[in-house]
Amino acid sequence: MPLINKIDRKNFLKTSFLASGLLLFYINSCKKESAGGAGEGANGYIFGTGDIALLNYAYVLSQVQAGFYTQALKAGSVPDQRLLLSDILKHETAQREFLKVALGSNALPAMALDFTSINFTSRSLTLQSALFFEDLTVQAMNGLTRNLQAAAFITIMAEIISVQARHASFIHELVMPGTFSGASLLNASGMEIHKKPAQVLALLQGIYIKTKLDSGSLPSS
Amino acid sequence: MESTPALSTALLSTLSFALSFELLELFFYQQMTGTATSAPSASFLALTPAQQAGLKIIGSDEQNHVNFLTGLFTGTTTSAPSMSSMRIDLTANSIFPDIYTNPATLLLAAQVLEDTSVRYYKGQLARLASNQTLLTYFLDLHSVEARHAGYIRIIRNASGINIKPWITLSGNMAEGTSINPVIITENANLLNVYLNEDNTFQAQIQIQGINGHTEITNIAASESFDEVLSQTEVLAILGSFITSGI
Repeated sequence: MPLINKIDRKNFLKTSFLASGLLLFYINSCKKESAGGAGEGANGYIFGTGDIALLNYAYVLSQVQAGFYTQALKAGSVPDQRLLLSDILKHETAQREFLKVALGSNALPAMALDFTSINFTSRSLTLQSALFFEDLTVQAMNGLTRNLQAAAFITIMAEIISVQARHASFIHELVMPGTFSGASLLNASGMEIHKKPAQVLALLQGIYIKTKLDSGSLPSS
Repeated sequence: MESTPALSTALLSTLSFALSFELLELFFYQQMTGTATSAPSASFLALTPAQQAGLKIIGSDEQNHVNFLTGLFTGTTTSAPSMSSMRIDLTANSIFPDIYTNPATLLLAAQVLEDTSVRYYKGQLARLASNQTLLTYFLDLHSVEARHAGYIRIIRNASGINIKPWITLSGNMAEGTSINPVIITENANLLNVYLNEDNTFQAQIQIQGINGHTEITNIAASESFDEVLSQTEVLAILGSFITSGI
């Protein structure tokens, strides 16, 4: 690409993402203000305060997902869907790394993950686990995004959520066709049943996440 | 139902638009799948039984969304839009001329409606940041529309179209393949359905190749984050379907 085009594109992006630039500034200022930022505490790793805590929680969720698909693809028990499962791993990786960069020095460390409870040699058990992680991630991310303060991060989390929901439908159709939506999954108004952080972490901590986490700074609803 | 705090005129206007969109979707699924008083379309009857069941599930979700959003107008001075207050043309001014007879056209239109509704809800969230009740409603509607969109893309793939459950670049169905000539060439109103979906920057962070991950190509980067549309951009697309009343 000619240099001039490169520059034009760069300037264009700078202008369009000015709001997002302010966002990174906001993240940094949160860091300075907060007495209890993210980091290791007496009861495990602390998520941080406010939006930082919520984004760290999203970062943990994306680590679990990327970890799961890495193992699933290594085991190779779903060879006929390798292409799209590889796509999903790329999406999970991209989202995880984005959150890591956005959080900067506030990011939690890489979690110690454990998927030994999953029988990856079985196609159906692998896909059932994928279904569990995809639905849980959508419900968890809706639950966390409703608590974010920074509008720009609400939008970016939603950009991630809809991709997760597309994954979920794909896996639903592989596991149990016709369960991608509807009464079996949603509330009576046809809406997602979002989950609280405590509900979600109870299903992950100690089983898939071995790193000790102190979720005290995450919202209770 | 949770009680909704008093709504400003601006938020009621947002709810009106959201409800109008849901009514369009509901009308689409009613016309295609049939109702107690109207027969299913020939295009619907040409789908497999599983696909027919899938579309009925989506139609039922849209009915629930309409009921929910209509309920939010109770006790306000604004009257909720309804199907009788709108004129809808599912051929979208002849972009989908054979929607009632051709199953491929039915599913293409469904994809346009579902993907656009995901982009619409996402585009409204930032404005709702200070109203947690509405923010939560829109988030919980948004992800369901994305589940629908993923499903429609899966069954289109099953019918032989090269498309993934997620959005690749600016609507390209597969790497290097032009998405669908109907949208791209035949109607300027639908050019924007996948506008800016090829973006690979989020919060000024380049996603392509992020942190040395060379497997995150521009294609993977574009697929990993869906993009918003503004209400004005959405209206430009819906204007082909809703000829009056929005």
